[in-house]
Amino acid sequence: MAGSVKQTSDSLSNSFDEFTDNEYITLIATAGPVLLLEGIFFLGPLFIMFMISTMAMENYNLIHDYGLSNFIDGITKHQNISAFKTTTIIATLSTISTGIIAFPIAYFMAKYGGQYKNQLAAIVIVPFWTNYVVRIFGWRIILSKDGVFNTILMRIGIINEPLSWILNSRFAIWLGLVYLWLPFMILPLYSSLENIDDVLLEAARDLGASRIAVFTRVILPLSVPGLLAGTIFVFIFSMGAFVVPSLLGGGIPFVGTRIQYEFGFGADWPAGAALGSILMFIVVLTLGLLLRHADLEELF
Amino acid sequence: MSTDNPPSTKENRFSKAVRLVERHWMRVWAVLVILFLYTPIIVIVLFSFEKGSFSGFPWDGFTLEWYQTLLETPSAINATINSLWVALFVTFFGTVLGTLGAIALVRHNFRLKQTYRMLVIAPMTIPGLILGVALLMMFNYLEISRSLRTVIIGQLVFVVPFVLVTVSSRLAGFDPTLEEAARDLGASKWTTYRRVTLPLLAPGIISGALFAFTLSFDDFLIAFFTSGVENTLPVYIFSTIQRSQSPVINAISTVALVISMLVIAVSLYFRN
Repeated sequence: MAGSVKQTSDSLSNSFDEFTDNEYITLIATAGPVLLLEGIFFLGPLFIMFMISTMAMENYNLIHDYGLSNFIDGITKHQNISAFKTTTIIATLSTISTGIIAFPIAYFMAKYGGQYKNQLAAIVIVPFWTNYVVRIFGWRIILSKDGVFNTILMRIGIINEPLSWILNSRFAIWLGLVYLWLPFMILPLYSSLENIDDVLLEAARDLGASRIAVFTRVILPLSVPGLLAGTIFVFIFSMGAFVVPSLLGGGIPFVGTRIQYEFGFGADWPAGAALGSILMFIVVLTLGLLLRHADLEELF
Repeated sequence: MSTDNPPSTKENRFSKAVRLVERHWMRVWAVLVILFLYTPIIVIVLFSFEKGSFSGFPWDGFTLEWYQTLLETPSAINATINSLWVALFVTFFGTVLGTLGAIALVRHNFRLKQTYRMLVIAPMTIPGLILGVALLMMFNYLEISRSLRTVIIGQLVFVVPFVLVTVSSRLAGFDPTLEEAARDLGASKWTTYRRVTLPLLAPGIISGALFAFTLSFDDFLIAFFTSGVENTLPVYIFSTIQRSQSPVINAISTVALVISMLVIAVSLYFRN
């Protein structure tokens, strides 16, 4: 009994050795499953989305009447233009704000964190790993008309009437996006700043650079890879946001909620697919412009 | 300023003061940012124990009523169980595929490596909304009915790359001479793999697996577009928020937060 177990384990071991001697076979065995998965279920759906965006819909059925009219509607229809405009403005503002908010805390963690560096990084990442629908719902509770924010302000006596314009506004979307993506900016910035050798900063100071000059001429340029990695994530994910605008934005026109509408009540899949394709184009453009100079894998 | 002349003590004191201010305002800033990050979490947990039925101050008192109601709501419990099952499957397949893919990336040199790397990074940078609707269209076009199985497949598309990158960053720091030593001492390739390579990679694989679990458990967008009749927890919470204002949502949200936090605690334990 024991002998036969030994034998099978030996033959398994031998066949494993023979198998892995062939470079080509091991490559297929390791990279193959991933390629298959991403080929079929990542590239495939994107291809089908592009295809459907050139089709038309009649009586809730796709018909093979190919053309670019959905794309033309996508960029000329009034509600689409206003959605893309609002989304781009809010996404840009959110990206800039997260950069400004993240820089001091990332710098503090990297340069003054000392022995607590890792703990600080963990504290920043923990909320990020919890459910984002729940966290955005938390903001809805805070910002709503009779919510935490208003009741506190009324208690203190700053306002007499609850502010009803806070929730369901552009401001609320901006706040939600900044909140959601902040860790994506802090962490890559932190790892960039941590890589800056302190000797460089001392050298700059010894050579007579002012504090502002040290920041603009040494720290800022060296933090660019982290800043760009953060920018890529924050901008792309803000452009494609859906949960934040639908829970905090009320009826504010937003690309994500428009796309979802076309797949839901709107029941116009080709229109939704065209909007998705345009968004995809913006994503690829952003990646193409920034990816070369950013360090995405540093994030992990 | 030449380094031969030490800076005057006055100047030294001034730069010390500047450094102190710099350090302190940044510390205050850091504390505020961390508070900001935790605010909605704290609010949800607090209000899940609040007696009054709407979530505002003043506090009306402590109650477990909402959790009790939750236990009597089968749809919420089913959604939680569904989420856990989906996360379990995604974790298993995601870890296996991601680890294999990482080995290919770090250990092999092949002509299309750059393309392979791009194909791996791309699913992480695409907004979940696009992937979600694209998968919805594909399943519909191919007449595959939507269920928890399609959710698992959809989540694997973006989870595998995250596992792959996590494991490959560990793999890159791995000393190949350890394997060579084992081989020189007469171990077969299989034994080397089992006794040297895997144990050394284990921490990376475990953190990849935990990463996969949280990504799946927290995913809303893919599940929203690819699930059928059966819902996952985030989809359940999202659709309940649209319909009602009941504090039971705070209770189920707290349950979701606690499950995530437990997984994070385990993963932080393994990281150290």
